[in-house]
Amino acid sequence: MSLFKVLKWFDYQCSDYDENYDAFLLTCCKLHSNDNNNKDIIIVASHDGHLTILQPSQQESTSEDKSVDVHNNPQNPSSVIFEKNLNEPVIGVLSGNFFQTRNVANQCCIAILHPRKIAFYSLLTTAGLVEHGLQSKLQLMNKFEFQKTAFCFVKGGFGNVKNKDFLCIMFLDGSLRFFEHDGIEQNCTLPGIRTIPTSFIYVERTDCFLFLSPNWDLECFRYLNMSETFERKFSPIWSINVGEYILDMNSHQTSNSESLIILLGENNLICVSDTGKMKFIKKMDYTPLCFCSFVVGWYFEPDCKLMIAVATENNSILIYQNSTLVWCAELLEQAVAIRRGNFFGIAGGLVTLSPTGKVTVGFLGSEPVLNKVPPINLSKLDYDKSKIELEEMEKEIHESVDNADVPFINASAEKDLNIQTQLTVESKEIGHVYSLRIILLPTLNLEQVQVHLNPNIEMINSENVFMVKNLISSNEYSLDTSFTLENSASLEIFDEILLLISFINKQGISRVIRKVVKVPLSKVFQPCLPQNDEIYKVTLSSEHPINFNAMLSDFNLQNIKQSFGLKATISDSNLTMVLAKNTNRYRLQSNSLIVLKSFLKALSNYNEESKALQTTAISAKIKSIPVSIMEILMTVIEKHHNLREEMKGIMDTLNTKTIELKFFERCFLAKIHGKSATSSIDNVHELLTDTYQDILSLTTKAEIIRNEIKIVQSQLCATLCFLREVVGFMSRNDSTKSIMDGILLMTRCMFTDFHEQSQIEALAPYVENLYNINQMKKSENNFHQKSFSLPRFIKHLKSTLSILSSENAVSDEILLNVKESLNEDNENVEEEKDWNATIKSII
Amino acid sequence: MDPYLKSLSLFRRRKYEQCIEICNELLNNNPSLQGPWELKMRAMTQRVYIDDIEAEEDAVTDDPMDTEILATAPKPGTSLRTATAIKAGQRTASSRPRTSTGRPLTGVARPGTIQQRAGTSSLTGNRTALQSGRGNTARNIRLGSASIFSLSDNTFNMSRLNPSVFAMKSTVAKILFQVLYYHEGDVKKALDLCNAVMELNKTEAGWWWLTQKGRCLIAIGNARLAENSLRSSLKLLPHPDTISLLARAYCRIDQPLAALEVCKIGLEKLPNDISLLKQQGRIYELIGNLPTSVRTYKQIIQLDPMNTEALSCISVHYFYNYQPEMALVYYRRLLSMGLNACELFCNIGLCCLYGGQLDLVFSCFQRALRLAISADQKADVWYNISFIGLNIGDLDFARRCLRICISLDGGHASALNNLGVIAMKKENSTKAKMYFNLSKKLLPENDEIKHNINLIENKH
Repeated sequence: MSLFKVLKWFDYQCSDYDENYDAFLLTCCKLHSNDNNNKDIIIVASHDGHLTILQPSQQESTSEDKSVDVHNNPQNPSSVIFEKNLNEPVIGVLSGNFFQTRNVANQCCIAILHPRKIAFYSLLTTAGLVEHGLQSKLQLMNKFEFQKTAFCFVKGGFGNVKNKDFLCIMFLDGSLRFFEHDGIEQNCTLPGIRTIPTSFIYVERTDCFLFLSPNWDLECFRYLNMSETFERKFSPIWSINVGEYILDMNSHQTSNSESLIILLGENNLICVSDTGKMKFIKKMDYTPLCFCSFVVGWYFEPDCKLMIAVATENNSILIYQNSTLVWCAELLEQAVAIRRGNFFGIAGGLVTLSPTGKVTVGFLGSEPVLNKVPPINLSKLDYDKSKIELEEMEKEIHESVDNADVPFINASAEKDLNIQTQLTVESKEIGHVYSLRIILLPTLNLEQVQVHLNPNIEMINSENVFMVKNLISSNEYSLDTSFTLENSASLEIFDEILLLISFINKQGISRVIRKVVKVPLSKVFQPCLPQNDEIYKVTLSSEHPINFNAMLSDFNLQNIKQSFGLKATISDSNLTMVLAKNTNRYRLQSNSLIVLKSFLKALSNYNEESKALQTTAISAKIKSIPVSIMEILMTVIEKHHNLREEMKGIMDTLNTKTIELKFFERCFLAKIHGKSATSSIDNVHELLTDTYQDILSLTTKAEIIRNEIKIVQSQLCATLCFLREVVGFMSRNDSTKSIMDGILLMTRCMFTDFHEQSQIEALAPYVENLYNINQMKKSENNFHQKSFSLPRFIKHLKSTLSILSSENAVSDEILLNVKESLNEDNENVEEEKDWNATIKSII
Repeated sequence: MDPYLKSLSLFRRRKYEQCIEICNELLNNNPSLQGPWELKMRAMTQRVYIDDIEAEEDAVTDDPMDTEILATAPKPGTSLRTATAIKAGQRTASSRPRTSTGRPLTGVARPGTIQQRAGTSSLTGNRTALQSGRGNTARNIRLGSASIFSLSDNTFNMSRLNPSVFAMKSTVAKILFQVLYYHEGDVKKALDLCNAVMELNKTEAGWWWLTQKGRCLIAIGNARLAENSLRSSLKLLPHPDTISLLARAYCRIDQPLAALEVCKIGLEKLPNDISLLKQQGRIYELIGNLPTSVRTYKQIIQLDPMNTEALSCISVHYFYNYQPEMALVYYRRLLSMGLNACELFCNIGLCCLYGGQLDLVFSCFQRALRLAISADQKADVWYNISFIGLNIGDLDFARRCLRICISLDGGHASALNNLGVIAMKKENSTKAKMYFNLSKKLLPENDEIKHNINLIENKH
């Protein structure tokens, strides 16, 4: 990324179009070694064996021609001086004075490295009369074959020989072979195992070779040692760890006494002097691909500069002077190799080779080329059309989002997804096993449906969330599940399962369907003998006789005339129903409020069903309710509150203790580490043990209280539920009912306490508000600041309930109401006796 | 052509996938070849390599078992934990929003994860200026995701590997370390290997192993031990990686001043090293010293005018100092450098909006939307577009934008907060309260949200 771009001077696409090029396959040199006209040739080879030699030449053309050239024929034919397929992979190209003894000194000698062979060629050129008359020929001078595969090679006047170039080839196994003039060969193996070869260089000033060991040490070997100790062990004269794999390296003499070695690592640009001193490490914040380095000026001049050009993966070229960034420009294409050459009589052309074999000669343009953002081609907005579209969309959004019409939405949701359920119960050794089959009938394709099973008491070992994916319309999907109930739930009764079915409809809006599956009464109760002397008693009166035979048809109770008994299946509580002899009065009695509640609920359900069927509707009224119901409620609330307070206290202590424990542990650790050896370790150990014991006992206590809370919770729950049913029977007034529902927060009998707030505490603001309204007091509306106080809550609840029941008394003319029971005004002692006599006579 | 030669060439050209394929073929034919094994390991490492020094800084970790914590209430400006507190007290420099951990937002999202890194290039896209920061712990994600990239071959069974055996094979040990650390993400095992090598070579192990040991120790959260080994590594060779790691170790144990000192000494040895300057800038930013941070970033662009991170950080600084025009200059510079990213256009759009160049605002955001790929990006752009609505007073427009933002990213706390503000303006306090509470759940530390909640509660 840069403001600047490398500008194109010349480019040529080599004959091999595949990605067969790498950093070893590009070289620039002079055509004739005694030329001084700054006209270099470029030699490119590919892994497929294509060899191309270019001599970029200026096109003498008008500007019109240029534009034609750029588009149709970008290559100047006279620039290509040689092109041949060598039919053998090429892995390296170099040019140099390889054959000084023969009479080719004036010609360009090219060494081409094949995996198993090295070949020396001489490029013979015969100039023609016109520019394109130039003829070139590649003459094979010499070749050597190897037994093993070569990796790369370097040239140089090894042994400080001037004006001659020798070659050193590295093989894949890390061994070396030196080629001196006229086929004098020498082998050498570097110490250690070298499985991943890297490029290496020859440093002329010190007559040394530099290699990267597998340890990522840069090792310097003296050429003399290497040639003398043929096939013998020898060691580097110095080595320095560079800490990473080296992509390429290069060396330049920068002063009389020093050469610099530049290494392009995977992440860092490293410069080391030829005496093994680290010059600089430059962390690159980009991904480098290749580099070239050169010296501007002569090493014996004081102002000679070392320049490094690094090509990166995102097509940039960064040019450093030593370690300082001096220029950054964008390349036209990614480069796998980069060299500096002299063309068109001007020094310093930048030659890059793209992965697909395009050679480009460019220069660093100093005119910033601003990045042009591509246009987004948006069609012009038609405002009228958009307005209509917007309105339509708004309408659609409004329809699907509006939650004012919840029943309608729910109905439509149920239209989208029809749900049927079947519940069966089996008695097994482990208890009652309930199997539920849920059948989903979607009317449109749904991506996924989630069914959440939520019975009113705890289940054992059963997953309660089901996912169905990719539902197709009008197919039937059935989910089968079975579960048992926790045995400890003796205070509760299992009479319904709440199904929450959620899905996303075609408008992309989530919908939830609530469905209550009622457990039939026959699964909840079983017949038993009627019992006398139960704690809670409820008297019902009805205008018409209630047909218990029809309601309890599942039980096979033959002809209920006087009384019957029912026993809850999962708890041991009984329920006895006594029918009065003459009047349509009924008495329910039980030891458990929840059983009573359950039966009352079943009765009211039956009531509603028969209403719906327009059969003889009964309008049962509660005539008498347990005397002490309010008292029970208050006691339970208080007990619950106290237990929670106690629990809170324990939790607080537990927290402090845990912090203490951590602190002691730290002290203990510090002592062990011997930070302060003055005091003995025993004290801390004692403290640690004590705290640990405390925590243990507190946890046990908390466990016990938690169980107690659980029991109280279910008692509270039972009482509240019962109260709700009673109110349901007593009142015809729907608003009273809904207020009552609000107070009891009960749509189902599940009681939820959160850590910070119990359900009762959550209820407090509501009750207080109701109380304030009734008392014509100003609402304060700052509940979140007030802390919960139990006496206040009880006061408010009592008063609210009594007002509610008195209102009922006016409107519904119920003789007995909650208010009276609150006042413990029991007028029915005589009647009580009557009932008892009836029961006794039956038993 | 020899396939091994070919794979070597591919490796040098950074074509790691193809290199691994050829190595696999070679190894299928002859599993005892050592060269392809090592090359394959190298290629696998390089393919998933990410500079963990560049990765986003983790928060300071509290270790209850750490017996060496001295002060619990550090002096102002000396700790990363109290950085917020100073800022709140001074209120001089700028009101730059903070991330979820309470630090001021930085201008660049550094490559925290492999997913964020496009290909293998080191280009980092800069995030939107006004986005809510959701700092993810880079290390955990990175270490986990490396295994996703494994070419479904179980050729290396790293769990059974015995470090002491490989410690003796000096040629393989370093390669193996990198595979363990970068590819497998098994820091513990890598540390074992380090220790085994150090035990074997005693003092001769070299700076590299000392640095790597420090790296592992930082990664497993034992920054104090890392300090020793990094210090002794620095004595042998002042490598920029080692210096950066040491600085990071100090940040981890909440000693940012020591980290800055390390960078300073490092800069004396490696003058003008950009990676160290960047580190300095980041630390200054973390301790809330924004003016110095910006000065450091300016120093960086003197040295490297192409440095995206420095440019973005400076522009963010200007933006939050109520100089959107200056910020725009820097963003335009980024744009003209060839950065064509969604976040950049979004930022330019915002600068134009606050700088009063309203004619450009919509076209900038249109481009930003075009370039947004991930749902997160889209959500951020929509969130920023809502500011146009807020500024021109079209609350319905703003609300719609925010709703789109929420539909793309349900956890966008700032958007929820702003929806709350809009609801408040429409005098729907219940709804507003709901939005505020939701956003507070997502960003519990944010002052603005707390303030809003207080405001709405006092009103009634």
